[in-house]
Amino acid sequence: MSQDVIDSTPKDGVKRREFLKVLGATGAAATLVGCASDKVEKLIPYVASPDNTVPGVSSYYATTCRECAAGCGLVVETRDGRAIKAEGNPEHPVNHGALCARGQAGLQGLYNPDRFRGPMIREGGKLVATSWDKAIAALQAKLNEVKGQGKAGTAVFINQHEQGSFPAFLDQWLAAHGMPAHLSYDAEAPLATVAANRASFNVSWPKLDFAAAKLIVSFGADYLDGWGLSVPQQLAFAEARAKLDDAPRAVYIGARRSLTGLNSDTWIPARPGSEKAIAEALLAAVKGSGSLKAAADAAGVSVASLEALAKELQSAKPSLLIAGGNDDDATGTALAVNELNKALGNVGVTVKPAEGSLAYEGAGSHAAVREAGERMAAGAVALAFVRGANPAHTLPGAAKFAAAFAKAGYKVSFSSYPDETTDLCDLVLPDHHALESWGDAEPVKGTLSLQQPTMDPVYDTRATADVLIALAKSDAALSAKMPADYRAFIAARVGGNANLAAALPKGIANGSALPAPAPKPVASKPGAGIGQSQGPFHLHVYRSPVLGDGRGANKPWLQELPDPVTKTLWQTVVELHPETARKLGLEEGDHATVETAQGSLTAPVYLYIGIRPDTVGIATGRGHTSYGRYANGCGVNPMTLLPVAEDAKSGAVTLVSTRAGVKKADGSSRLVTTEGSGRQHGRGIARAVSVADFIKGDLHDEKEEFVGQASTAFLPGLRSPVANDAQGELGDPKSKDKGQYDPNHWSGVAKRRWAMTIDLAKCTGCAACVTACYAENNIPTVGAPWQGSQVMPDRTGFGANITRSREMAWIRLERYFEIDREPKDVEFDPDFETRVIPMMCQHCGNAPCEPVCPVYATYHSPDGLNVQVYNRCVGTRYCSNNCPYKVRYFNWFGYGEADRVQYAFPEPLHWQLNPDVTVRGKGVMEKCSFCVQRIREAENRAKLEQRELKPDEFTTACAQACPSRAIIFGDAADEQWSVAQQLKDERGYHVFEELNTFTAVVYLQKVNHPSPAAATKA
Amino acid sequence: MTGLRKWVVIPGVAAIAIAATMMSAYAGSQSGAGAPAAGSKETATEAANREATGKAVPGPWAYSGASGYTNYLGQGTGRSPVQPIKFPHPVHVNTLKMNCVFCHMAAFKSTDPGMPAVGTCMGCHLIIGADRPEVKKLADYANKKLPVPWVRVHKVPEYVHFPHMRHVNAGVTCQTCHGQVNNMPQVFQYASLNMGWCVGCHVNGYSPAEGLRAAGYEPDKQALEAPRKKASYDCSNCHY
Repeated sequence: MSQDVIDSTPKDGVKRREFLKVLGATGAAATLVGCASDKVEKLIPYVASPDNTVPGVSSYYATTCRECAAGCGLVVETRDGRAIKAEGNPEHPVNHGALCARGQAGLQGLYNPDRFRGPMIREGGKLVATSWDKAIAALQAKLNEVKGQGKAGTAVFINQHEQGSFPAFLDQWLAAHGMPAHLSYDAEAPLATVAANRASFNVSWPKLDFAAAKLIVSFGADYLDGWGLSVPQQLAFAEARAKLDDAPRAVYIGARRSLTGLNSDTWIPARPGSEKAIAEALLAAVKGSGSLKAAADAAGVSVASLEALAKELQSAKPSLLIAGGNDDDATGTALAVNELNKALGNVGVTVKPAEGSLAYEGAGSHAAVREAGERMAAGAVALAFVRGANPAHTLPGAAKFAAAFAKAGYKVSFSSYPDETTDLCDLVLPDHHALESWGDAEPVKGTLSLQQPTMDPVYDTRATADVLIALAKSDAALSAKMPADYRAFIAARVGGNANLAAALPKGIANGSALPAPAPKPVASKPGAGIGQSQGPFHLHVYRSPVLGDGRGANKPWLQELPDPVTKTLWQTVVELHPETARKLGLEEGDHATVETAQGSLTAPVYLYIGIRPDTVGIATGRGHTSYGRYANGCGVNPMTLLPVAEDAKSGAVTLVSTRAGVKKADGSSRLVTTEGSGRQHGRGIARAVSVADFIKGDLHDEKEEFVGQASTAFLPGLRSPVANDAQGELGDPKSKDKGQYDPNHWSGVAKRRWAMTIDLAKCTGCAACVTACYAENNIPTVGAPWQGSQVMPDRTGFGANITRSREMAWIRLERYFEIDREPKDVEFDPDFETRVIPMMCQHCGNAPCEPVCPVYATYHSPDGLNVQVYNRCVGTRYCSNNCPYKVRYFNWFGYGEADRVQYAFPEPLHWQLNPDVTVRGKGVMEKCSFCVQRIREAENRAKLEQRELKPDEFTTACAQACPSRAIIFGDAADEQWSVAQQLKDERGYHVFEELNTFTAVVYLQKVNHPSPAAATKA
Repeated sequence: MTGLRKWVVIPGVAAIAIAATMMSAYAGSQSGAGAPAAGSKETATEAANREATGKAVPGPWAYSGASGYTNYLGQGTGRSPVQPIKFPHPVHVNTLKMNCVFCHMAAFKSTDPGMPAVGTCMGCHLIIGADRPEVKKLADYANKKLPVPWVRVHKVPEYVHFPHMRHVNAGVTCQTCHGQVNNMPQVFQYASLNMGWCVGCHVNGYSPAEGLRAAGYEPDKQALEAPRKKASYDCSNCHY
């Protein structure tokens, strides 16, 4: 070998190091030249200055959330005319300031890039843009034509189920045109429970008082998964669990352990459809007769577990029993459970019919929509309207609704977005988004929750009520009955404009909505029943707690929010018990085909230890074909597998009504998940204590002095050795001038110590905080196919970036199963514990990320924040490597740059961006900032008002949203703040405190309530 | 590339880089000082301003020449873009004695100082000077219900959060940062707005007397005796 080959540098060439030198200097020159051109930026003033607004200062509008039927109150923050954040209204009787992830994500519905820009009309087989005048004239002509033919009576109007006056207003309009009353449709409505409540208590939804109960038993009611009234139930559950040693035990009966199941202390894994047998047997047992053997056999559970429950029901009084199954006699289950509640003396104590909610008043049956579809298929419907509902996606595939709808004479949609049903329409008159419209809701009798526009419409849309009023103009008699516009109508409901103006700041008024018309009963089709269908598995279709029936799928925040149970996102998975998967030769990620008599679908397998081995679980919500860029082609829709089978008494679509076969399909793909491991591996991240130990005061494994005590770790000033280093001489404790780290420094910055407590006894893992953080902190979603490279076959498509761990969630919900084996080795055992823990930057006083940063982009601020300075960051990612909590996120692409394909905020999604937070550039590290922009804003406000900060004056976005009220933020160095009091809680601990990180986040241990039998055994 | 050529290229580009750095440093060191360096030539903008106002106006002395130094965001001291309407600050402020916050109404209560709405301008100009060509331009925007697309002169990068109200309420005169806009027929960027310039005041303190001088007033006894006002210089004050 010659010397030339080893030293390949040409004699008069440039060596590598020299080349870099030249390149560096040339680069500098190029930068100078490149930036000599002036970027012209415009300052655009208002044409006419709006009243009561100050540029750069937020205005807040109280309104009502319409993302589900519950009717929570919102306070929407708007900046310079744009809604930027939705928060709960603290004075609202339903949600008391909390808000779920779906409510937060309403903003991405408002700014959805796939929204209709204006009215559309079908011409030459395609929907093309038209003007409102033409669109209304077209509908007017069609109305006259249909009325002229005498076919007005055949018209069908499918409207989303909603609270308030609009349903009755709509029916008045329909009646005036000789059309039948509308069909109120909500695929998610717990119709069986509502029907049973009507029969038992003569109200649709009694108040459920969780905190008054000693025992909570759910018969398939996923009260923490968005079922029923999501936020109020969660508030009440968390309030009950906050009683710690006095808290109720929770028992979950169902085939799959949902988030509700995981939060329950005991799981009775009953076979799908056997809840009724259990409820009836328990009723008999409570009354002192009958055996539980038959019910246990039918449910495939041990007799002992039911006997223990029966015994507990008799001793733990009062209890709260909730039914919410989705099988073919779900109403039967709910009736039996209501009887149980009566027998146990719970009615009036934990189940309060007198204080009920009106949320599901007027909710029509699913059978009615299916039946209307049958009439359409027969060609008997001349005119069909659909508004805010998408039955083509949400009804069982066997109902063939899309094909039927296509056969209706003339089809009009009022939907704001293209969807599977609207795609078939001849005319689209896009409605305003809820945040752009007037309306009302009556969540509690006698209290109106008002809905007002929070901003001017984003696009050329019109409120449906105003379209109806415009259509009435040609008819003098009808027009006389109609209000001038819908705002005037709402004003009249509260007694005039003056009253409306007085009520709007709080969003609440005394009064009542037009009573919701009672839906016309329609005979349901019971279907073949579970017993009759073929297949080795029960098919357990359930409503996704994140996407619901599918309406959330066009919102990237929700697509990128990991399912609280499976932690998968941007993907539909087939949930199988590991035991079953082993028998079928399936591993996690292998594709499996699920077949029923109605159809089949193929999706990757997720091994879930919380599902019966004879059951296969699939979530609804995905599998859209026409619902915008974030939904189309993402996942599969399990509704296509279901037969037409309705609960006989309520007409609800039964989600567990058939058996299915599962077989291995070709291929395997990496699961799109944010989870590394579902086990703690003894690291003590999420800790819990049994109630017995808690009462004994035996809270911590080690008896050493607890460093989280306010007396030791949260004093103001210099607590961080790292801060010393980072600040050089200024931080030296021996130095006379410790700079701003000195509590006596004139700036007073170091007087505060921002800290957070998270009460794991309250946290349910719902992940509302995650979406709140996305909204507040301009966090990009990264899971759309075009945002990741398409090179590796198992890492392409939706979630490609997530499979590379590139998600950006500053706060995440970790969910741990307390078993020591890996999922693939687990045998079926219903008795396992689950813990959830929100994990975000811990703002360590002694942060491992700080000393490794070569450019001081991350450092400890005098007020206790671990600060990330974006403009200093050069993207070495050393900090992320050194972070024991793995809470630092790197911008692999320019997600905030409009000219890149990875752009996360396509017009007009970027209207939502919080102007107080930097949109991070490519190559920059980012992480939880403790909402420093809120701290600074509060400080600025206090200074303007010439006062000090008031205790608990503000809080972080996650704490604000939390529907469990588990997160408390504030100044740990000031005793007057709630967080300073919480820090003294003896349950407190730091995650990885053995690393001496001196974190500013303190978790309070969960208190477990093992069953009385298990407790005596131990 | 031969060894010889290499030693021509490297110092060559290095010299350009050093020169640029020095210009930048010079801009930073001089912009807050209050007087042009001795012997510096009058710039084009200064000359225009002098002609328009009839007196010498302290101008942007960190650079001379038409293309000028700009920082990497495309802004720099002395930048003086042509505006869609030739709005004369001197007439409004000096002659008519209008206060800055009459139009920039939020400067003392918001992070954003606020730009006057077209309607605010028209409040006076519906009648006053309605026949003048520049006012006609304004009326044209108002009639079409269009905003005036003013070209932005002062801008800090997106990763900097500058709360106007904290500074205004602390008594910092507008002219300290913006220069004597009241004497600028066409507004130019007066200060460098770079971080060293910001921190200079935060650490060493703002002198009320100097602020008054910058605004063209002779400081009174109270101002002369007032201590320098310091402010927190923690990174997360502005960067988040």
